[in-house]
Amino acid sequence: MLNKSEEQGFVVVALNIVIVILCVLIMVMGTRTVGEFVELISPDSIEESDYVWYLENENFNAIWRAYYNDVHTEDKQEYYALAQYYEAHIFYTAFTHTGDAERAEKYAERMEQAVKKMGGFVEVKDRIDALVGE
Amino acid sequence: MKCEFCGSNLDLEAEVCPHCGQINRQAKQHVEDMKRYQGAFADTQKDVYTTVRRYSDITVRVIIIAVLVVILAILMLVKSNSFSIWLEATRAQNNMQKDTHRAIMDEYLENEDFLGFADYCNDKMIDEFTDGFEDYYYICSTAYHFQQVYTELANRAFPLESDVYIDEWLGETLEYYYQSVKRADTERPFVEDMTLTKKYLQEMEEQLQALLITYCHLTEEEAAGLKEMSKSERNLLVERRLSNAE
Repeated sequence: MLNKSEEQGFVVVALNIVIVILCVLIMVMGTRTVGEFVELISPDSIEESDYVWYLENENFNAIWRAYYNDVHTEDKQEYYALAQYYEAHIFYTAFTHTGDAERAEKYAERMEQAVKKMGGFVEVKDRIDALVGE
Repeated sequence: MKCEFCGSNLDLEAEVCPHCGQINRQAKQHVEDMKRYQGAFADTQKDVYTTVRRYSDITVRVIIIAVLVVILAILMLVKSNSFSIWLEATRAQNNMQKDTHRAIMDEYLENEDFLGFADYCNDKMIDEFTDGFEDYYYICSTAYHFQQVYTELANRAFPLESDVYIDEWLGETLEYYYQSVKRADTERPFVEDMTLTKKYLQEMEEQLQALLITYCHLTEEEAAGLKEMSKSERNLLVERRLSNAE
């Protein structure tokens, strides 16, 4: 049978264990909370390798979606130009088809501006032209 | 006290009589008693200190645990509401910079770049409920759905071989788009002057009709009449036109 002082000793040890557990939980929870806020404030940008893969598969819809979802960086400007050209071409084709010359011309200008920013991807323009048509 | 042998006065602690040299048994007993009492007192004092310290240790630890539990609860609350907190902070920041945002948004609208407008609003978390942007109430919502319709149209018109396309998705996005457009017509306007809103909504509709005519192979009349159709009628028409084209 334990005497009172031994009982109290066990209580202190048990409380110490509880304190350690709580401290660990707080550290874990604090780290995850900070991580969530960091992710919200500074979302990850899309990797260039993803753009490369989309381009290899001629998945211009994916490049377009990535362009709008990405945190824009300087090193991927040529991919963004592809997305802008693709989008403008879709609209240009639609307005040409429906006879809206004014809007078609506006999107033709956007296509030209995008081509200037394509850099080494200018040859991809022909593939987009072949895909979208007109 | 007096010496029991010679009767001289003695101090309480004098173990030997300074006059006759005899041992003062009472003093000796007194010193032994004092040693015993002091020993017992020290032991008791030690026990009291130990007990008090132990209870203090327990009390302090309980207080520390209570504080840690409160901190943990606050952290869990903050984590579970992190998006709401971030959204409110972003909206407050947007309100402070609203002139800059409005200028950029107006430029998108004047250029009829509704996809860019929708993306900018999405990126800055500006929507129809954001304070300071009430006059964009209908445009924000409709532009977002316009972007969704465009995405589905592009997926449908230029799919990859590996893509499995579900026609219902285009129908769903068109339904949400036209619901948003109709709100501007039927609801009591949240916007004082609806002139610009109606202008931009009209331009968006014209762009959408051109896309639907070109990529869903609708006629001009069919595209213009989509707004008044029910969801099922719209889905049926679009599916039929797409099937005929294939």
